[in-house]
Amino acid sequence: MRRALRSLAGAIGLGLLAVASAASVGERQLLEASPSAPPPAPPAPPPLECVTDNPDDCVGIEDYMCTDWACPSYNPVVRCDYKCAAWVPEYAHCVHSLPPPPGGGLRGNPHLSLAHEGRANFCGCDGCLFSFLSSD
Amino acid sequence: MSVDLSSAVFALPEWEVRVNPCPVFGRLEGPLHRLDLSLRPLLPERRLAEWPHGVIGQSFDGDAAPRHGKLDTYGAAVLWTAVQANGGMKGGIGLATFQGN
Repeated sequence: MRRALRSLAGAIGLGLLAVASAASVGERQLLEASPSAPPPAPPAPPPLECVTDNPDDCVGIEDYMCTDWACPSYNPVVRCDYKCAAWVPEYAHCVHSLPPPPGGGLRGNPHLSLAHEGRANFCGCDGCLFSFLSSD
Repeated sequence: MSVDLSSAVFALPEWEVRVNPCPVFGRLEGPLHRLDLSLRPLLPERRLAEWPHGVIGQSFDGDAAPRHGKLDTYGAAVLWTAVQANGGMKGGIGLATFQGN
């Protein structure tokens, strides 16, 4: 029993010594590293989206949805209706973060500004109500 | 020094709606002021929770192509506006009309 206690105390002592030794090494490393600290990591890139004109490219990637217009290989004949929500390095050439499009509106009597620089006039009718935007 | 009419901005989760009042220039009768409306999505179209609808909203259809409707021909001394964004709306203006007020 006494031998067991002694060995336990020895183990604890060794453990403390190891901790102290590790701490002193850590401090020394910090002190040595401080004069020439490495540059801060670059900021994280904005969220990226994988864009593809081939729906099969998205197979196996969950939660993919639709996009098209920014991919250089986009074929306007085959409507691209898929966007992989996850980063896929193979599509890095056509990956980007989509900005919101310019807005639309109406002014005057009224002249309509539609999305993507579309234009139209709209005279309406007396006493009629129209919905100009319905969205979530 | 003068103060013009104030505008109002409505910040919605996916849209910013800006309302600018303006005087009706060359008014003959009717309201003294009109309200101009600006609708700006805050997300890429494909990330909107639902595809928007409405006379203007439906044009945010994610195809990046402009969709033009008919324009009135200005230049006459007296002009009667007549077009209803013909061709600029999928399905026609009836889809954005409220029935029975």
